[in-house]
Amino acid sequence: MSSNVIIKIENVKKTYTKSHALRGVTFSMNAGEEYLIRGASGSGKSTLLYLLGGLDRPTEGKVIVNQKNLVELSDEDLALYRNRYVGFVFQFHFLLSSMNCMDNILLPGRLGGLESEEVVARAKQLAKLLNVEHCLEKYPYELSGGEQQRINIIRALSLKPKLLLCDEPTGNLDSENSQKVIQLLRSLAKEFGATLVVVTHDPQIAQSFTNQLVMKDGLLITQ
Amino acid sequence: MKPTNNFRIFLTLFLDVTTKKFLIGVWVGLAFSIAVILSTVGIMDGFERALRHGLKKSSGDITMKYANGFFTVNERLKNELKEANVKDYSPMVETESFLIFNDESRGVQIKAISPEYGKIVGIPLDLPSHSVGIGSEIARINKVGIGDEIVLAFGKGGDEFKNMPTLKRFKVAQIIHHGVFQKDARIVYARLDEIQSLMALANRVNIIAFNIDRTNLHSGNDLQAIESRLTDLRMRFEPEFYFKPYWREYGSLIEAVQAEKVLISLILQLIVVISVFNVLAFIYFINEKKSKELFLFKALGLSRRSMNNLWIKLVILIWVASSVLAVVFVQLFRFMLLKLPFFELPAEVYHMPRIDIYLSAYDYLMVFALALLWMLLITYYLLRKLRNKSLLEGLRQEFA
Repeated sequence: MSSNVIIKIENVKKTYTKSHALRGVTFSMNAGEEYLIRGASGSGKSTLLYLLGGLDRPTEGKVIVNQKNLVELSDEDLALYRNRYVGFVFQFHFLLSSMNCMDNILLPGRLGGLESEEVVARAKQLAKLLNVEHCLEKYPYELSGGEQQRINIIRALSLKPKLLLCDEPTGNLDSENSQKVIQLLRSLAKEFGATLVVVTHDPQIAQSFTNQLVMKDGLLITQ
Repeated sequence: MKPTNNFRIFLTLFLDVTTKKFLIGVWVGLAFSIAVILSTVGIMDGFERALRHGLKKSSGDITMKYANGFFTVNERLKNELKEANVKDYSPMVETESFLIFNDESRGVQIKAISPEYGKIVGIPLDLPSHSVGIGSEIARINKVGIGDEIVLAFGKGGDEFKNMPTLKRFKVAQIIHHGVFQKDARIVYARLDEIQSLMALANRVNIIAFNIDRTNLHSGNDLQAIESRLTDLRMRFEPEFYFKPYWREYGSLIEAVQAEKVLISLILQLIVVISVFNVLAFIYFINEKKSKELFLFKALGLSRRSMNNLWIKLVILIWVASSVLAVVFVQLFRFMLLKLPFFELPAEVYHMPRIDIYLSAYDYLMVFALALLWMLLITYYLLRKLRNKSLLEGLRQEFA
């Protein structure tokens, strides 16, 4: 394993009751780099992302992140890994409507017992950077789709994750905003020194990524 | 991780109107079910307690009788009572009679008592000469009031009129309420000296009533203490003297009520189980309706165990809130039972016109603990079932 390799996936298979989502995937990713996983709907790209994020366990194979096999981690340790190490950006932003945007942003810190002035200051700084400072006291339903997605990104970065996983982050945006969001994610990941993994089926976005993994029918066809 | 913080965050899932309504329904439903069990147990306990209290008010803890009828409380008997540590006692005469008032008569039980009897039974009995105290139901049924004159007819007259009743006029000085219909409808208190004289008994009596010594008695051990005292007394005294606890007359009824209480409490657990299913339906509903939020919590660092702990905490919170509300419901039922005419009972059948709800700490503890046990057992089972469902699969289905 190269000293720069942070993620190593070895022959990972994932079977659901009625389908095989992944049928033996192997690849590695370097720390601090940007990756794009693309493929048609149902190709297994999101499943792969969730396995990387420790949200699910593979049926077979190894998912090694930072020299730890996630498969061997306990449920508690896996939760800790998700909280401290991973930032998620979802297509469906999943902002809680019962909380204002600031509370939504601070949610990972609160769940992990890591809420601090530093986290709050970072949230405000990112909000200023992403031009949603005025949204912090508002509730998600008061914001536009683009604003909601930016709040979602701030939440994902609130604890300075080492791995930023984005599942169709531009799925609900027009092409102009999609490009802006992707640029934003790339620059923020670089600033935070995080490895960026973006799942998309949008070919326009795919063009700008050097490291690409293409999935088809649960298999990696190019890396 | 800070569990309190997490629980506060978790509770934000229940703030929307539909969820709130469901939660309130679950809460009130469970509280009502617990209240039904508490009230049923409380009515049974209340009945038993009122019956015992009423019976005790009519005889004291223990009565001592003589197999051959009347006896004299001579020095020897006094010494025996002293040796048996029977400190305060009241010799009395109990006999049958007819009370006649306004050309109507009814069979009554005369309790001819000395002044110390009032202290033993806890009724302030102060009877002037030629006066009686009558049970409250006698007063009600025969429309007799304080100051009215009644006639008591005794079965045995003087020698020259031995086949004729002895009639004696008394003034009603007190109306006594025992709380047991049969006692209130039967007992007439008269002065011991007057009845002894009337029946030519000299200083003979046929009963001694007394209480046990409660100096070192822990609360709740009353009945066992009386039973134990009875055993001791039966061993000390000659077999011609026999002793009865105050509840003996209604012993089988009390035993039946106790057995019924246990059975009904067990059967009524079904109501709690049904309500617990509402709690489960609620958990299931939240798992479906809030699957996105639950997924988010998981994605942001909440483990399955932490999530299960949150559910358990919620269930315990529902249980606590329901238990508190159940106590309020019980007080409401109690008020209705005691005040509303609809809940008045036929006293001739149930021995008392109204039954109060009486619940001991043990009753509360048992009912609450059983409800919690059911809730935790069934919740644990559901959480195990839910574990088999992949959150990701659920989400995918939702967004498919």
